[in-house]
Amino acid sequence: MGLAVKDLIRAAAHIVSTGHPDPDAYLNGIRDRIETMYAIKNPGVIGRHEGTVEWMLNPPSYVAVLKWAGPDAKIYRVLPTARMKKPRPQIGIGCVRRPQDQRRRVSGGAS
Amino acid sequence: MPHPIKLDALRDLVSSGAVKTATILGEKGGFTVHADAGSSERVLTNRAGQVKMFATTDTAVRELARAGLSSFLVDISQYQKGLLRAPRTDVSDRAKRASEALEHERWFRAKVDEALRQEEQGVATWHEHADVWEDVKKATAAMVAKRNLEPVVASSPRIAKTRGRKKGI
Repeated sequence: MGLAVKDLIRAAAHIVSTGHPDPDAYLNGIRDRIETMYAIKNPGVIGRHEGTVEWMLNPPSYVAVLKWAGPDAKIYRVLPTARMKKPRPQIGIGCVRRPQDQRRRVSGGAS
Repeated sequence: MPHPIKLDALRDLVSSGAVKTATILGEKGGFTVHADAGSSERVLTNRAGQVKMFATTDTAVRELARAGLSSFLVDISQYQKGLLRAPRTDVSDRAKRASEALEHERWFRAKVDEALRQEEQGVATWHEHADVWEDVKKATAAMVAKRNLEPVVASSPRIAKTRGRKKGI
């Protein structure tokens, strides 16, 4: 499996983990932007690596790194524009508590 | 209260030999520089005429070096730890954001490097656009199904009861 495919699956995993009600719609946003790029043959902006082009996939904040090969585009990566942090776990039954939550609170006062 | 002296004037006195030594005096939150000018003592001030406070002895020593003094005493008998100025949270926030942006840039470049290297080595695999989205759709459906199977965590009244300290028991 190519790295860009893995990136897209990782993006899907992220959006599913956030509890998004319709992850398909979110991913379709990315797909639509890529298809728009193909349709209008937009060359994108010059990428950070020589010979590459970057194409913003907004509103889902991802960027596709690609190279044009004639009418086709070779998409190398689909990466988030900012590092995604894992959503904070809910505190409840079956949830792993973070270390700072394990600190025992000692309240003062006479018994 | 010793007479104030500005850095330029102190430099002149040092070069003329009127001032040979100085004292870095610890005070509340920082240090001041007192020059021994014969019978009188002069305290170093800034351009506005206010007593110049140094956050560390290092900065005070640097200032003395600028004045041309190489001999000084350090008196920390009155020194009290503290901050000269309020902490600049805006500066630390800006630095944090810049650091995060730099970290992301490095991470981004490394990811693209990995893909380009795979292509150079001939191990990269290429897929048709429609096939890719088919795979992504399948994987998403599996993840959503797994998420829906997980039990919904409801707040337990038993746990809620034990939280906090009960009064009157």
